[in-house]
Amino acid sequence: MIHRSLNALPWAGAAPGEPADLPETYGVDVLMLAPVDPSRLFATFQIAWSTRNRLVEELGDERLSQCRMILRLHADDQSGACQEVDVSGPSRSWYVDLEITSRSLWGEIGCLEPEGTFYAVARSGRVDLPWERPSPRFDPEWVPVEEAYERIARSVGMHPETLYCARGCVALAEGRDQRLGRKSLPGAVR
Amino acid sequence: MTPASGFLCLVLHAHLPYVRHPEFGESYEERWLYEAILESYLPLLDTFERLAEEGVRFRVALSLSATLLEMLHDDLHRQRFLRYVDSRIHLAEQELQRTSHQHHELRPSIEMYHERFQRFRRLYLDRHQGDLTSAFGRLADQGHLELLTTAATHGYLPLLEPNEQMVRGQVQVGLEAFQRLTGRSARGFWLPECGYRRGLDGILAEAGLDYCILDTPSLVGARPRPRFAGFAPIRTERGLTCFGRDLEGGLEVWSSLGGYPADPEYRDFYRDIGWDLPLDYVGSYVHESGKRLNTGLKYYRITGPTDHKEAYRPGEAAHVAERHASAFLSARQRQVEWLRERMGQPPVVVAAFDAELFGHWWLEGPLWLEHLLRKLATQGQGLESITPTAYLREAPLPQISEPNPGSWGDGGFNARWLNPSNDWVYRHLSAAGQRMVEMARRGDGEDPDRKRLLNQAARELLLSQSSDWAYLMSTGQFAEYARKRTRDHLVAFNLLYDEFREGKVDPEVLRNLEERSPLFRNLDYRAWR
Repeated sequence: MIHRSLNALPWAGAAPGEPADLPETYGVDVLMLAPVDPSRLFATFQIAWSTRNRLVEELGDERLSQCRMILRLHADDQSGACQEVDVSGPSRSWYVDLEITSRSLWGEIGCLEPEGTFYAVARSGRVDLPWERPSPRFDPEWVPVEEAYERIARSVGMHPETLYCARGCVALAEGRDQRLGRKSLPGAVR
Repeated sequence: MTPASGFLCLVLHAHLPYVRHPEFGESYEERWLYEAILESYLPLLDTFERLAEEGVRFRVALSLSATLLEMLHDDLHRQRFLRYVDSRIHLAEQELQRTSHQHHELRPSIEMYHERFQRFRRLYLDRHQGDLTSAFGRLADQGHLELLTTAATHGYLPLLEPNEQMVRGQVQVGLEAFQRLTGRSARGFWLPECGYRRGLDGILAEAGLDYCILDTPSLVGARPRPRFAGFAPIRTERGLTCFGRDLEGGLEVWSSLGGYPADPEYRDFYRDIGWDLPLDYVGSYVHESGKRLNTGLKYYRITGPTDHKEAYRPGEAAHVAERHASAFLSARQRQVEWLRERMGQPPVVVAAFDAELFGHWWLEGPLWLEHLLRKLATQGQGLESITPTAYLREAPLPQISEPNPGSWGDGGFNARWLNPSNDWVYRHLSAAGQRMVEMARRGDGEDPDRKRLLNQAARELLLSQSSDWAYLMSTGQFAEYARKRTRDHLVAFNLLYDEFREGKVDPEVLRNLEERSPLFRNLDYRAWR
């Protein structure tokens, strides 16, 4: 499943909350990827006007209008796994639920012709994803004390194997909220 | 190892974003600093000094961010803080007069505030001449505190691009400012929001740092699986030691259901006379615009989940704080005994909190801490307080393992700082980051004005990267201010970039920007190469 960011706006517009006097583009082709969590990725891109013009020149208006804007995510391992996301349309920021499982990946964005030719425009750097669960692998000289894991899991009401993705840090998130966010302290009613 | 059955490592993280508005007589956001000094930093200092003078053996790690240090050393803030304290004292006096013949049940609270405000003013001005940093430094010299620091403007490091140069800039400038303002080198690093991404360890180790603090899940999810889960630090292959925050003890303090600060006897943060009393009475103590704000005088206890609030009873609340300190100590003793039996070595339990919890949010927090440290010194029963560096001196070599990326934000990863309320910032921050690297590599050509321009560009970039802005946008609180600050620094950065590209320097623009943000005076743009 793919979720557009709420700032799905035309190329020439600013996102909600985005100050209108910041540059619309920076004159370069950029694809930035960032993990939101182990299974969701944020992608934001911009394509320079000069690149658009070059594509129009190379492909012609008609062929270009038949192309779809595609984000390709590649597993950075031996698997060769790839996930393709259609990001045609006005939004330049997307949230992607990942279908490939890889510790790290990289992406490219470009135009895909109906017959399958892909014109890459921008490429991201490598992105490392967090692991979702405690590692099954351990060093034989450092055999895990499983009861310690179980104790941590119990303290947040979770099973040890789901501990990591269990919002284990709710407690401090609340604390952080209280610092500047003025969220109610527990027990207060205002 | 010592014969201790386990160690309690208390870590307090003190940070506020850089706020300075001489263009206004008063600004809402500057009050964050004045409230934190009066309600948290001075009460904590007071607590630590009293314990030290009485010869109590205690050890606490205190993280001081570079932006906070810069503000604590700023004469404008010193003057404005004194003005703020004086107006609180005056308000308390006025309140004593107002309640001389009525509302007797509120008098103990008012007298408490009156006494506290005066005492902390004396502590700030008479005893320490407005220099809190040196006061904390002396406690560090005595072995009671270990001071550490964090990224220069508390940038959320996992999301900065290009990552290596951006992180290096945040780390180098943060460490330099810390050294300049405290006169000491930091051995430890508080990762902003406990945000970790692979590769950060190498940059921190290269900068000469020994350790950082991560949230428990980053240790629990480390590869290979750590033998001791979160109860002993791990070491990365690049040589950085990572401590994990303890969830169990953290929940006892922070849980919204049963956390200590929720006790009905404690002071209610939200019932403030700035909201309760007529505006024509409190008007001069809120904001010059006449907008209502907290004054710091709050007379009611939490009472319960009800709008009806009973009068605060300072003496009763103090008893509860002592009881909670005993309960925390006892729970940690049971925890380390249980763990030691299974681990075969003394565990280290890291209790890490925002310093501003103590006193500002939780009025009784410093008292709770004082009782805890006293009891730990005399009734520890094998549980000892320790700092990370002292632990590393005594403990066996940590296991080599690679921490899992994560943060202490809700969800445990990046979602708090990357969501539809704030995701627009990243394409601008990323572009500015690329431009900064480009400028730094091209250099100043030994032109002093061009060097100033490059340094100011780096300063604006750092200020735009503060994790606080994305956080505030995410909560919706002070979101407009957060957007404005992000925008202002990015606009200034882009202006300087354009000038750099055109080979010119507008001296007036540059001077204005330097005067607007007079921090990080030794900043060197070459850190971004």
